[in-house]
Parts: sequence; structure tokens; C-alpha cells
Amino acid sequence: MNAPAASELPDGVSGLGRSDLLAGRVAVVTGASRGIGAAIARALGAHGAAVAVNYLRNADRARQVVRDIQQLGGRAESFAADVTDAAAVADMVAAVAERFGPVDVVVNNALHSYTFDPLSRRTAWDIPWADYSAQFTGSVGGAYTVCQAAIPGMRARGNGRIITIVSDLIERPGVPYHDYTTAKAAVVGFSRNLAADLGPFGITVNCIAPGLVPGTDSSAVATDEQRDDLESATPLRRLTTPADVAGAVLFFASRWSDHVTGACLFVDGGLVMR
Amino acid sequence: MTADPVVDDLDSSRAEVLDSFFLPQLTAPELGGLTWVTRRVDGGGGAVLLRSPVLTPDVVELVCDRLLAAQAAVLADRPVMDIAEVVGRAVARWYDPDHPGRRLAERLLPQITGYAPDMVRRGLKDHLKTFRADRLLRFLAADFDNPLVLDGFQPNRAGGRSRAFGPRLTTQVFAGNVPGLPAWNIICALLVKSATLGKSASGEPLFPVLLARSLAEEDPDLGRCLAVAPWPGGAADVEAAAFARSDAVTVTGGQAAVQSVTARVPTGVPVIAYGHKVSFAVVGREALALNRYPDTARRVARDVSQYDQQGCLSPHVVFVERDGGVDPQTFSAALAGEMARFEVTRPRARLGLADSAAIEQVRAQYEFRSYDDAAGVALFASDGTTAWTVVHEERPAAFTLSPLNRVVRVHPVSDVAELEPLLAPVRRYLQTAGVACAPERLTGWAEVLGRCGVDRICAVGQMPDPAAGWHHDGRGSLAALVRWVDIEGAAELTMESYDPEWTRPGAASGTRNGREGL
Repeated sequence: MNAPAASELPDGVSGLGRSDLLAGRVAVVTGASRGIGAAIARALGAHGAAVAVNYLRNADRARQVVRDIQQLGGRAESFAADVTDAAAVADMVAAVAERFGPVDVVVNNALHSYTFDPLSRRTAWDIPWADYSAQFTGSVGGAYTVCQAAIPGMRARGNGRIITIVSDLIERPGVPYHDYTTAKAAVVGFSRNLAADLGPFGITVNCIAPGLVPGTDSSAVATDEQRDDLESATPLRRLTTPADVAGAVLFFASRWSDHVTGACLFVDGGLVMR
Repeated sequence: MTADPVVDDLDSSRAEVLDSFFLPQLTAPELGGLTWVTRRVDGGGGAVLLRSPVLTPDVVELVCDRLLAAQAAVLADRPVMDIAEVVGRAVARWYDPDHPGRRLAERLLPQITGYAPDMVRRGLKDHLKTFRADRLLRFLAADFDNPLVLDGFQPNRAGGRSRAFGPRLTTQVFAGNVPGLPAWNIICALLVKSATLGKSASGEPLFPVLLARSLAEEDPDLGRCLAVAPWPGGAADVEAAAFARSDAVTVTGGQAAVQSVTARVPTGVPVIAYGHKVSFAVVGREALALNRYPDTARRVARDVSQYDQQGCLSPHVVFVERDGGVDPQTFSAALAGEMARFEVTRPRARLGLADSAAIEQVRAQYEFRSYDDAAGVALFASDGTTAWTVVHEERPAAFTLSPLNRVVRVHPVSDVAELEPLLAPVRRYLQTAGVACAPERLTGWAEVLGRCGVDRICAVGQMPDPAAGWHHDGRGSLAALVRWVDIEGAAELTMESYDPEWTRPGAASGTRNGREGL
């Protein structure tokens, strides 16, 4: 047999390797039972962090992610919590601290349920405020709730990493998903304000803006044509993978980004350059 | 075959078992009386269990007799436009992403073949587009000035009338290297009103069965004229029974399969063989302009990578003109980049030892030469795997075949005429040339390429998707199947002398006289 495909490498993180880069760190990844979140959790686990795999409904898939990390010799546990429910999140952060120690790294990845269907999206002239409101609650509200629970501990120890997944649509709304994209843009503003306020305590706050990630549940209805068009418009000529996003998370979670805060890193093959 | 499938007999009652045959000619009790076998097929994407009856010569004779009876009863006199419409409707079922057959194919074909799921999904969709009802008319128009010659005698250019009779029954040995390919064999036979006994390939036995089911659902009469089942390749007794009852035999596959079948078909039964073929691409300087070359590289990468280069339409070599916006070696590097990206989204199937070794061998050979600057060789290859390989070679000694599985050679040329000596040794195997050049040069290139032995010229990026009605391997797909019957013009004229008016005793003059008498 020749070497297996990258997605099947034994490190389980699509060629991102393994290390003790994050040894001793405790990370919470929200929405980590599938897609990008699962790849981020596996990558953090493969590089030494103890990982809290947060999920809303997919207990089985969350447990699988935990098993994947454990098979690499890493530490992980799944925790159910709705990220917009402050009490549930507080309980989760306490439970994580109990299990692994205080939380050092928060990855806000959970997404308020949303279907990216370019053919049945709401237009500017028919989208109700309730849709925006729901996305603000999910994106800004979710990030807010998790940060509120994690910040006190981080501030006390003078160290912390808050990483929030947004979208490159905030700079290039190729398909105008009004409510989703507006809320994601707001998350960048939210993060920069946190960065300004938390910098003095050694806490960095950064965002990652991926391009379209095919193969995830959220992107299932993106059309083949849309993917082809995006690929040819992208300098690196392909769509984004969960591993691409996980690589950027490793950077922001590690000491390699010690002096970076308030940034928004576009991980979309150069589609957006800024 | 991609990734030699693991095939073995297995007694398994636990896993989901699928029927990999379509034999509506046999009743349930008849099927029940046969010996059955369940095979585990795994092309590297996960095992699938396929169940089918073991065909003996007796069973094949029975099936053939019933196919012949069904053909005579429901197909022989059916208008060709009616058949085209029904086939178009049956294929149209597959345009619905939720069509059960399509869903099954999209789920299982990647497992059976090892091909990337996305590649199979989009490949099937592109392939089946060729059989839309309107495109079936192109198949007919490509081979017949007047397709109604399939329904009855029509005036011909020689002054008489002609009718084209398809085989009553065609035994068709399907290929398994490219999913969906047997659709073409089955549909061509139906258009000339032939029943089909199809031998499915061990590498991909499922699709022809699913398509036959769709045809039968759309029109049960057509379904009765189709039988698809696996039997061991070269099973002489089974094939002798089938060939003896067939008016024609088609075989699509490698050289060994074609030779084996051809040798055993009885004299007088035409064999239409689609054997080993080789394709290549030619990229002109216009397609290397700074605003074009990345897209050109992307198209060529797709041509090479689709179905892991297993199709006869896949390029082995890319000839690149000098003096473009970027030089040929830069193009090779861009092609390598695109091959790497294709691998991310549509990874190549896992290979067996022999296939991997073949790639390693090619790489090793060129790697040594690449150390010598004067050799004009550069090697671009996937890191740590055999997933893709681009060999840039300035001065090739010959047109060298690729070991396949995404290995392509790039040779710079100054003029397309330089191709003639390189292609001469492979001329009888040449098939598709993908081209990219200025429109005013297309005809000139086509003349050169046609002279070299090529039978299809298409744009780069479209090599895996032949147009509806193409002359497959340089022949009329339908014309190759039919037998012409001519009524000579002189015969029609001569028959005039036997007009009853002149030849019935006493009739003509008697009547006239009688009428005049009133």
C-alpha cells in the first residue's frame, strides 16, 4: 500500500501533525461534534491540549471526537451545553475546570442553526428583523456567554486565548446571507473590544474568517457551480477545509501568536486579502 | 481497474446485501432454483456485499431465448422515436438528486470503486446529461441521415431504399473502469432495437443494474429486453451459449478481454470491440497567456485526475507549446499545483502494491535524471504519497504510456507537427486529443491530429465528457451495430413489369373492354 490519503493520517487531523505545543492547556471548543469544530478539537488534542468537546445535540458524534483524541493519547471529554444559555455554559466551564483544570483557550465555533442555500435565501427586501435577531443571539450572544464564563479565570491567571470563528463573507458577501453575515461582522467588533479591554491581563482575542468549507452540514446545499466559481476566483484555487481552519486555531492558541490580538485572519485561499 | 477490488466469496447474513443482477426473464421459482453467490467487493472505500445467481450455460440459453422473444414481441416493431422518448424519460429520473437509484449509486459506487465520492457524484451527473431525450436524437442523427431507416425502408442516395436492422440480441461485455459507462452500451443497443445480455464488470457491477431497473420502471416492455448479470470473465461455456444466440457482441475493456472475446465469437457474428485506447492533450501558446494559463492548468488537471486517469479518455501526456506567456516548465508547475488541489477535494483511490510500485518506479527514473541540469527533466510529485505526479521532460525519446492513477508527462513542443513522429508508434491506440489554441489554428491542428490516428478532438477540460453522438473510437456507435438491407432501385423498376394489371390472366383487357361495352 502507498501512504494513506491525508485525511486518514494517524494523527487524525489531516496532516497537521502532533506535538506538545499546547501541553498543560485546557481548551473549550463549542459546537465541536462535527465539521470545523470537530477538526479544531482534534487538532488541539493532537498538540497536547486537554479538550472539552462541547455539543448541543450530537452526543454520539461528540463522543466519537473524544475517542479520536484519546486514541492519539490526548485528553478530552464531551460536554453538552447550549452556548446561548448562560447557566448551562457556566456549569460547563465549571465542570471542565473540575475535570481538566481552569480553561485557557476558548474557541467560539458553535453556529446558530443556519442553512446556506443560495437559491432559497432571504432577500434584502423580505428578511424580517427576527432573523437578524436570532443570528445576533446565536453568534454574538453565544460568544458573549462563553466569554463571560471564561474571562474571570483567565484574568485571574493573567493568561488566556479567545478565538472566534466568523466567515470571509463579512468582507466579500458573494452570497448575501444578511442575518448570518451581519451577526458575524458584529462578532469581529465584539472581539476587538474584548481585545482592547483584556489585553492588559495577557488575554488575546482573535477571529478566524474561513471561506466556504464544503462537506460540512452547514454547507451541504452549496451548489457545484458555486463551488467551481469560488475555486477559480481563489488564488490558492481550492475551497477551505476544516484542517485549514484548525491550523489557524493552533496558531492563535499557541505561544506563536503571543503578540497578536484583535486580529481577524482570513483563511480562504486568498479570496479576501486584508 | 482502480485499486484492484477485493473480491471473494463470503457467507454473510449480517451486512446489507444488494442484488447485483437484473434478470426479469426469470420467474421467482426459477431464480430460487439457481445457485447463489455473495461477493464482497471493496475498492478501498468500504466493503459492499453483492448477491447474484451463478449463470450456467442452460440458464443463459433460457434467458437469451426469452430476450429474443421479448425483442420480437415488443421492440422489433417499435418506432425508434418512441424508444428514444422512453429512454430519455428513464434517464431523466436520474436528474432528480433524490432518485433512489442515483442515491444508491452515489453512496455505493465510491465504496465499490474507491473513487472519491464527489468525483463519482459529479461524474455520473455529467455522463447522464449525454442521454437527455434531445441528445439521443443526436446519437441517431450522427449515424443516420434519416433515422426512420430503423423503422422501415427509406429512399437512399443510390436510387433505391434501405432499412437498418439492429441485432435481435447483443451480448455486451461491460467495462468497470469508469462508473456509468455501460449506460452508453445499453442505450445504443436499445436505439437500434436490440435486446441486451450484459455481462457486468467485477470492478463495478452495480450501475448497469440500476439503470436497467430505471428503464424497466419507465417501460416494463423495454425492461424485458434487458438482462444484466455477472459471470466470470472468459467463462467459455457460458459465453458460447450467449454468443450462439446473439446477432452481435460488444466488448469494452482491456486488450486481454477484447482478444479473449474476439477469438471465441462464432464467424459471421460481428464483434464491436472498444479496447485499450490512449489520449493526450495539446496546449497552444494562446492558452499559456498570463490571463489564461492558471485556468488551462486547472482544466488539464481535471482531465488527468477524473476517474484517476482510468478512462481511455484520460491524457497520458500533455504537449505544451513554447513561446507562450509562461514557459512550459512554469505550466508544469501550475499543473502540479492544480493536481495537488484536486487531490484535496477528490482524493485518488488507494492503490494496490503493484500500482504504487509502478508510480514509484517512474518517479525514481526521472528523479535521477532531474539532478542533471542538461537533461531538461523536472519532477513534481505529491509529498509522501503517490497521489499525483507531473513529469516535465523537454526531449522525450518516445510517447510513453502513463502507469495511470494520476501520473502525467509534459513535453514542450515548438509546433504541433512535431507530434507526428512521437505519435506514430501508438497511432492505432490513439483516441482523444484535448486541445487549447486560437480558433484559426483549430482546423489545422485537427488535420494533423486526425492524420496521426486521433478520433476525437475536444477542448482541454472536457476530455472525460464526450459529446452526445460521438463516433466512439472512430466508428458510428449505432452504425456499427446495424445490418443494412437495400432494395435496389433497378429492382423497384423491374417489379413494375410484374404489376398485376399486366400479369393477371385476362384481367386488364377484359375489364377495359367490358367498361367500354357499357
